[in-house]
Amino acid sequence: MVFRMDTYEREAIDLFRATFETLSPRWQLSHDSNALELSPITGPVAAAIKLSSEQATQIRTIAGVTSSVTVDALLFEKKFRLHLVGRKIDRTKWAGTASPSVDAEAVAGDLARGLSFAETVLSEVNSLVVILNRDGNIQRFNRFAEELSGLREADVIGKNAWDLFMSEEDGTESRQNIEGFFLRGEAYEVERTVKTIRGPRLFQFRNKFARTGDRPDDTFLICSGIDITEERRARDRLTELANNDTLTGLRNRNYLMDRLEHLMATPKSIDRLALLFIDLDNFKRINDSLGHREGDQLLKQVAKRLQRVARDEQEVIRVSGDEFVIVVSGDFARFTAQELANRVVEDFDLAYVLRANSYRMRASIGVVEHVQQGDNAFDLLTRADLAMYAAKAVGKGKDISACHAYTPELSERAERGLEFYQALQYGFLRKEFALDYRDCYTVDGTARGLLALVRWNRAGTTPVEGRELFSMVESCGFGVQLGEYQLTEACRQLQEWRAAGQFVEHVTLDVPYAQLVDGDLAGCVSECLREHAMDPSALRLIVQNRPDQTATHVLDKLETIRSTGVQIFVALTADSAFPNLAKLHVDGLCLHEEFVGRVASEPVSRALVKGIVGVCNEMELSVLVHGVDSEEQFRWLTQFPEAEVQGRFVTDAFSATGSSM
Amino acid sequence: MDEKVIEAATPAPLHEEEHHIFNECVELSLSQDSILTRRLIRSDGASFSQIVAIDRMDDLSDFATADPYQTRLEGSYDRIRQKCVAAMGSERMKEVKTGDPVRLIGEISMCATEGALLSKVRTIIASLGGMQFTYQWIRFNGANPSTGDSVESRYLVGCRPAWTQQYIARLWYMNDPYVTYARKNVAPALASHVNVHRTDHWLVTEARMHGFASGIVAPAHIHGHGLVGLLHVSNSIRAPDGEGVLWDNRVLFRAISSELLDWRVSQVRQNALVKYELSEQETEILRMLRDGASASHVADQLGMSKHTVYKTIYQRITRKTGATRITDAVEKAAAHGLLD
Repeated sequence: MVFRMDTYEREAIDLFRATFETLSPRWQLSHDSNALELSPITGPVAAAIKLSSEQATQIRTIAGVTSSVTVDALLFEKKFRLHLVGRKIDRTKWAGTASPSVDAEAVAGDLARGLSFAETVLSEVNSLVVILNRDGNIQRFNRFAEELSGLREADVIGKNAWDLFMSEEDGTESRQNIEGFFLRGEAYEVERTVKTIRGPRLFQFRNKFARTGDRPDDTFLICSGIDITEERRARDRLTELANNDTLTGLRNRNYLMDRLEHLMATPKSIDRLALLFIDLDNFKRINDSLGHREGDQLLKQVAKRLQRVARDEQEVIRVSGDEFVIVVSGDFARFTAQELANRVVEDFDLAYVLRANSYRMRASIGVVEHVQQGDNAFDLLTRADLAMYAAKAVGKGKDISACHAYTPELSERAERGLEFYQALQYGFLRKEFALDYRDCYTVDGTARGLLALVRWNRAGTTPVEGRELFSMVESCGFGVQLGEYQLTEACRQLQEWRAAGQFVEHVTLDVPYAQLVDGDLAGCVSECLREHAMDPSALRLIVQNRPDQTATHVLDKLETIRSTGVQIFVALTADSAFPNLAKLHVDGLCLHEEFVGRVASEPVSRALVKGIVGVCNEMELSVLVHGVDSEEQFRWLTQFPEAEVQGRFVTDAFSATGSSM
Repeated sequence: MDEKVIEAATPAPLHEEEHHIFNECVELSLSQDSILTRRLIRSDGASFSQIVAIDRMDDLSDFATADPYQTRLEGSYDRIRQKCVAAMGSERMKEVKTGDPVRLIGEISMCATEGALLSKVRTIIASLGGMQFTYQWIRFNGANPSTGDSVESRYLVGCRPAWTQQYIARLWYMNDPYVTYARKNVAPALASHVNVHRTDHWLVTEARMHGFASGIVAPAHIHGHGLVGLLHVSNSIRAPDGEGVLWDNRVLFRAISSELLDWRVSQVRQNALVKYELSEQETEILRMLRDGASASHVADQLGMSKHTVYKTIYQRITRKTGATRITDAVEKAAAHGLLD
């Protein structure tokens, strides 16, 4: 276009210069007013033009991309044609520069400025922008891309993007991807690792197609990418934290469960998956004596050595404090696992050294194989745990590391616990318990009451009694009930005998440990005595398990019972320590039958019995000796006139002459 | 009245499972309103049902971990947990209702299910100074509750669910001084009164570890049924203050206990009516027999021969009730409240 300068135009230029100090003042339009405000490049509004609503609407259609609109308007009471170049600058405002139609150069300049603004935006935007044609040749390459790649736009334009920035693999995939998308023309998102001067970085690309014309060659792909390397690293770190044990660096239980569920989800894992469950038997003790820092060091060493034994082929996982699992997968998993378990056992033979002290760790290892479809990770671990306990039983007492493979019998045995619990429960319900009474005498044959022994006449099997019964009952949680049964039954029987005119001095009973600790022994004793009108001296109670070592409230309980007149005895077995009689006030001691059994052969046992009886005499305590089964034993015991004896020989010898019953 | 009278049909449970563990059987059933019922059937036929409200997932896991057969029922509890999560997700939080206890006690008889009963009683107990409660319906063999063994027990669990699990698993009902009291007494009593000779009874100590510090028991009996109801309400305030609060409401506790027992009886009767389908005449005959009539009395009354009574009427009744002899049928009908 060619413009002719005439007077009118000259006047207009002068007016513009005078008012706005420029031929291209700034214009601004807001969304709620049709007044187009004009101002100098810097400074307040100097003039306003009233636009028709059509004109205003036309301007408001301008978006964020710089464009131009021409409006005819009255300014300074003169008609002007104004070229407005500008864009929407925020949600409610449009602004730019205005030029009267007289100044073609100004318009061209403004347009160029607008375009350069767009260019600047493209360049300065804080993400990677690359524009490609359908062959993947670079058309535009923004500043971010330049910095990232260390290449200048001018040098890369027209070159192939995949060759430049992508690994072969990624490039091929990406190329196919893009070809497909060019055909469909859809926008898409993709994550790609890009070679940069700082090394490979992960980018998330939002790719969009733009058309500049109708021909297929006019379609371009705008790839805009943001660097998500750090974000992804943070996410990976979180996952790692969730799946790793920070102390040893091994994988943790969380990982194990996920891994097993994943492995076991496919039927292919049958016979191709096995586990080693490793428990450190003596870690707790070492940890307590060493201190926790050294304990941690020790665990780290164990972890390292386990990893070495597993030779990177199998995964080592720390499932809890001192428990580790090794996952074995592949053909012949069972044999690999067994062989690995043997190597672990061997490895534990070598000492662990901390600060010049060596420690021998002992491990119990359970080995289990995944054999049945439908089992879950939990089932497998439960079985591994059972096998581990079996190994523990093997190693216990021998102070060695041991391994044991899982067998179905182990599950059955564990189940038997439940079955036994049920049987015992019915024992109580059907009242299958009974008391057997044995006579007690002094060595000169004077009757000294009865010893009551509880027996479980279990339906269909041989009766259970003694220590075996007590430990079964206590482990099933029926200790208190058994104790109460004994007391009630003994008092009832005593009352019956007395009513029948038979004199029994007293009945001696074993008190289950649970009744002593959890039961209100004193309350039960006094109620039984009261209900059957018995004198407290009619009962003598034997307590086990070093009661002087238990809590003070238990000692108080015993003291309360003693204060009513019921006698308390403490049982001594060959391997139990002598109770602290200064702390524990009792009326007598019971010697387990092992003592008497060894009297004939072992001088040590003879000395022990002599000593114990001596202490008792000194302290005016009674002594009850169990298990006097032979004449030889009895004869030896006659040297203790104060002792009471009980056993097969005694019963046979004296029952004819003067039984209590 | 804003609530409907009993509907015989109860909604289908969300989940049901049955497990045989050696000689026992455990049935687990989750209702639409998140009420879990665990029924244990012993090999001698005696059954123990716990009715527990699952308000939060913690309740369920407490209950599951306290189960003596947890190792065997683990999968089952897990399935129930999933059902619960699904059911709760769509449901709004249960609002704690309050109201006038006397009016609420009057509404007990209108509850359609044990679940509804449980939530109603919880509301009442809370407004009467109780923090925890259990209600047990115990049926003894034989008509006299002071002798005989329990054959069926149902527990409404308004306390920590682990308590009733332990209570049943460890046979504590055999040693429970409150049960002993309830078998022979009808008056409400404070825990300290029941345990006058053994204030530190071990079971009371165990209960204290579950938050039963002060307590009151309210037994209820019904003539000729061998059925005893026992409400045990407690709070965690130490006696005597804690007991004082409860004692002030003893009359209301007694009323709750009676209402709950009546509810059970009418439920049993309802079920028996549907199950046995005895005619009015047959019921009348059973009633006569219970009151001491002989076959000839019955024959006179009906104007038929003694032979017909034996061969037709008695046989029909024993067939319907599944009894072997007519005296068994009388006992059965009486136990189910059909002769009241």
